[in-house]
Amino acid sequence: MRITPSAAAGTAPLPGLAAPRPAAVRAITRTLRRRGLDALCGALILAAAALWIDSVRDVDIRRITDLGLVAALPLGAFVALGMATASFALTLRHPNVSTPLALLHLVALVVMLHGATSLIDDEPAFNVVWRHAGVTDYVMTTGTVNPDIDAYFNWPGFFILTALATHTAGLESALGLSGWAPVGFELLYLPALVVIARAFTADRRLAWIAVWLFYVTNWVGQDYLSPQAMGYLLYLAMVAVILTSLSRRTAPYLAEWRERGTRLLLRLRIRRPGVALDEAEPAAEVTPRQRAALLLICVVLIAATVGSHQLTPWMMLASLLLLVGLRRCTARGLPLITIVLLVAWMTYLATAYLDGHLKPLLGQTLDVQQALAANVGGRLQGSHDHLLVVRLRIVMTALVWLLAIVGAVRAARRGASSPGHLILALAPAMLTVLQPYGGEMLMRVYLFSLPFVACYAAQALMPSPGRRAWLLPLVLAAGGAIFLAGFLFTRYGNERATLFTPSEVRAVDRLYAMAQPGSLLLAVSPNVPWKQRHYADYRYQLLSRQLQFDGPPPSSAQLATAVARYMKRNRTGRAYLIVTRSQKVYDDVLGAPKWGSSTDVERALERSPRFSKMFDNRDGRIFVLSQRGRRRAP
Amino acid sequence: MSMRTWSPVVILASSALAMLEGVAAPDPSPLRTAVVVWFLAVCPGLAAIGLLRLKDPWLEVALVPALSLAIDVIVAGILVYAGLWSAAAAIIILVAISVSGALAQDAVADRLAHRGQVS
Repeated sequence: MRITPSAAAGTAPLPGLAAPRPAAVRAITRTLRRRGLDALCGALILAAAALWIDSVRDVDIRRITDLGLVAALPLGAFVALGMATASFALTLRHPNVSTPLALLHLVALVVMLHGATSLIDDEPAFNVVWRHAGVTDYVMTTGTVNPDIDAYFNWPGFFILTALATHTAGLESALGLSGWAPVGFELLYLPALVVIARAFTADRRLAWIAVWLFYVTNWVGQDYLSPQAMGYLLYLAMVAVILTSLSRRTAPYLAEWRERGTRLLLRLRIRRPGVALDEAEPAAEVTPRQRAALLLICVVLIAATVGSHQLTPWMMLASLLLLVGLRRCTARGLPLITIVLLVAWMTYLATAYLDGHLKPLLGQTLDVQQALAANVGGRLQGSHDHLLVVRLRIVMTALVWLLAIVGAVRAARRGASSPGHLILALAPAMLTVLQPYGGEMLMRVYLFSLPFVACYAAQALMPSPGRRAWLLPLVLAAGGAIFLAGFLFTRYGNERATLFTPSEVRAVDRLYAMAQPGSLLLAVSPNVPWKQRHYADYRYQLLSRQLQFDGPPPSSAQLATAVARYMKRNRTGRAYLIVTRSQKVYDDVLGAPKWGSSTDVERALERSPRFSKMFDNRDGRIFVLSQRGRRRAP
Repeated sequence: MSMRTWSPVVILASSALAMLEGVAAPDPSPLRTAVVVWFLAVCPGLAAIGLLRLKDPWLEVALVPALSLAIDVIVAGILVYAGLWSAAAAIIILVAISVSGALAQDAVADRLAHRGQVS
C-alpha cells in the first residue's frame, strides 16, 4: 500500500481527488515560489522607477557642478538605481527568464537613465537641439531646403520628417518634440538590440545582459532629437536583418580558414581541445520572396539614411563591406547599392556643401595625428572636475572593451562562435582615421560598435556552466553598481553646460524682438539657445571663432576694442552681442579661448563706453555699440 | 483569424482614423502629438512588415519603427525636392500606404485561411 502525504498526516484525501504526489507538490511549490519572486521583482522595479522619478524631479539645477548631474542627485535616486540593479539581477537568477519581466526592467531602466534631463530641465537641453528645431522651422515655413545655408540642408531627410511631425501635431516648434526624444529613441532601439543579442547567443540570460549592458554603458548621448539618433535606429534595424535573415552561418568558402583559425586557437590554448563549434541560433528561415522583401527593406533603410545623415551611411558601408567581404552576409549587392546611393546623393544633392568643403575633408583623411588630436587631445581640457569626467569616460570605455576581450576569449574557449558580431564590433573603427568628425569620431565609433561589444562583455560576466546559481545575480549586482555609478558621471557629466534656464531663453527672445532681420547676432561661445527660428534671417557668428590675438591675453580695454572693431565691420545691419549664463558655464567647464572667456568679454563690455547694454536679466545680457563706439572704432 | 493576423489590421485602421481625427483638431495637445508620433513611427512600417509574415516577431518589431521613419523620410523628401511640399499631402500618402497595407494583409490572411480549408 502506498502512503500518501494526507494519509501519513492522518487525514483522508477528499473523495474524487487523487492525492498529489510529493514530486508534483515540490514542482508546484517551486513554480509558486518562482512566480512570487518574479512578482516581487516586478513590484521592485516599478517602485524603483517611481522613486527615481520622484527624486530626480526635485533636483535643483543650480546645484549641478562641473561633475555633472551626480552632484545634485538626492539619496533617493541612488537608492532607486540600487533597487533596479538588484531587481534585474534577481530576475536573471533562473535560466528560464520571464520575457515580459526582463522587458519591464529594460524599459524602466531606459526611462530612468535616459529620461533624467527630461524630468529636470525647464527648457530643452543641448544647443544643437535648438539648431535642429531651427532647420525644421525653415523647412516648415518655406517648404524647401536651401543647400547653400549649411551642411544640415545638404542632408535634410530627418529635418523634413520633423517638419512633417511638427506641422501635423500643430506645434509651433520642433522643440515640442524634443522633451522625451532620448527615451523614445532608446526604446525604439530595444527590439533591434534584442534581435542582435539573440543572434549572438541561444542563452536568454546572456542576451538580456547584453542589452542591459548596452543601456548602462551608452553614455555618448546621441539620442536627442537629431539625425544621428534616427540614423542609428536605421543602422540597428539593417544589422538585425543581416545577422538573422541574410547571414551566412557556415561559409563553405571559409572552411579552410576556419580550420586554420581553430588550430591557432588551440595552439594558443585559447580554445579547449575537443570542444565542438557552437554557433548561435540558426538563422531564421526565410522564403525567397521574404528574402527579396527584406533586401528591399535594407535598401529603403540605407536610402533614408543617405539623405539624412553624413556619417551613418559610411558606418553602414564599412559594416557591409566587411560582412560581405568575409562571407558572413549573403546580400552581396548591398555594399554596391550603398555606394551608388552615396555617390548619387553627394553628386546631385550635396554638391553645395562639398564644393566648399571637399578639399579640407580630403586633407583630413588618413591624418592619424589630427584625428587623435581632435578626438582625444581636444577633449582633455576644461575645469579640474570636468577633466575627471573625461578621464572616467576613457576608463569606462576601456573597461567595456576589456570585458569584451575577456568575453571573446571565453567564448572561443567554449567553442562559441559569432563572427558577424566580431566583425560589426570592429568595422566602425575603420572610419577613425578617415575623418575627425569635429572631434567626435571616436565617440561615434564607440556608439556603433557598442551593441556587439556589449554581447562579448556580457559573455565575460556570465559564470561558467555548473557554477552556483547565485553567482550570476551577485556578479550582475556588483557590475551594475560599477557601470551605473560610471554612467551618472559619463552621461550626465556635461549637464551644467548643456542645460538652459528660462531666463536665458527670454533673453534670446528679446534679442529676436529687437534685432531687424539681416542683423549680425554674436555670441562668445556656441552654447546659446538660439536659431530655433529665423535660422536664415540673421547672420550668426561666434567671437570664439572670429577673434585672434597674438601674444599674451589682452587687457579688458583691448578686448572691448577688438569686439567693437569686429561689430563695426558688419555693414549689412546692426550688430548685437548676447552673453548668457550657459556661455559662461561652457567656458568654465569645457575651457575658453586663450584670449579670454565669456565672462571676460562681458566684464570688458560693461566697463567700456563703446557699448550700451540693451537688455539684462539674471542669465542674459545684450550689448550693442554705443554712439561713441560706432564713432571711435576704426 | 489569429490575433497576430488581425491585430496589425486593427492597429493600422484605428491609427489612420485617429491620425485624421487628430489632424483635424484645431489646437495642439499632448494627445495629438502622441497620435502623430505613433502614426509616423509605427503605421507605414507595420503596413509593409505585416505582409512579410516573418517567423521572428522580434525582428518584425525591430523593423517596424525603422521602416516607418524611412518611408516617412522618403515620401516627405520627394515632396520637398519636387517642390510639392505639403504636410497634408504627405500625411494623405502615408495614410494611404497604411490603409493599403492593412487591406492587403487582410486579403492575404483570407487567402491563407481559404487555402488551409481547401487543403
